[in-house]
Amino acid sequence: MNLVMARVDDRLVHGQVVLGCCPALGASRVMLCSDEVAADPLLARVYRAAAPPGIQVEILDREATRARLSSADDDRQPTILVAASISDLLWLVASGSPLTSVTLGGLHRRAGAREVWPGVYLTPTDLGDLRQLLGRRLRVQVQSVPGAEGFEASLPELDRRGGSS
Amino acid sequence: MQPSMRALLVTHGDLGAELLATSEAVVGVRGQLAALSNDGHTAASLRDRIGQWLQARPGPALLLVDEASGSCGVAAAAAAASHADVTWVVGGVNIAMLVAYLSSCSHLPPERLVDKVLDRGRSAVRLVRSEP
Repeated sequence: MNLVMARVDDRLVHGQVVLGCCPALGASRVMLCSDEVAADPLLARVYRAAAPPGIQVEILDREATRARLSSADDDRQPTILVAASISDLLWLVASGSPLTSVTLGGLHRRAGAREVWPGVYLTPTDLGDLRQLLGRRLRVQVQSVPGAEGFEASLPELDRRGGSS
Repeated sequence: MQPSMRALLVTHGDLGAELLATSEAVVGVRGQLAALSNDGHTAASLRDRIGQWLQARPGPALLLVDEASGSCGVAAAAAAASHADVTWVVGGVNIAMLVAYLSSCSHLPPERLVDKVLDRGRSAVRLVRSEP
């Protein structure tokens, strides 16, 4: 699979993804990894219908996403993977998905979360999951869209920005 | 006068509030249209918030959003799909559309009101060329 970005974004498929990231990275497909959306045909239909022309939205639960990412097919379509949470990303990595980098694009205010970057709030659980991702040598970037300001995440850097619990 | 159907403006940041304030100033009426920002919302929380607004009163409703492919459009479409009453979702909102709604919502039936909003919105998008 030609994965051009793995992104964590709790708004799932939205403007920054289809109008910002897809054109910038030449992606014509968004693979949405969400157990909730995959289990809800109505919601899945809404997400597919909302994509602009030229962008295909594929909706898979975590297990199906893992299988697609791990398959040895010759699918060359440039694709952005979007997961709703860092824990979803960690699950994919821990279950063998060959991901090497992840972009934290948007995680909004939740109870117990602190802002580390505009539009990116992390809970203590998120930080624990990030610690595991970094321990697996994944590159973690915090950036809303390609070309925008952001930073390379390390745990000291996240702590410095106020994300420590 | 009560509008023939309720309308909610769902946008990024303060865009909706500003568009609404300007449109109300143009028409000279207030309180016929509500604005909701997506600030701080996840996909699920925005969908739930719009759903609560729809559930608050029965009857047809119009959801006006800035970007149909964005978080506002997706959340509005998802909330509308789960709602029992007829709900229109219209993307690409501009001042002309809001003015059309505010000036006609009390006397046009819902279907004709939606047609008018769309027609005025499309007409307002045009090239204004000045000769050198």
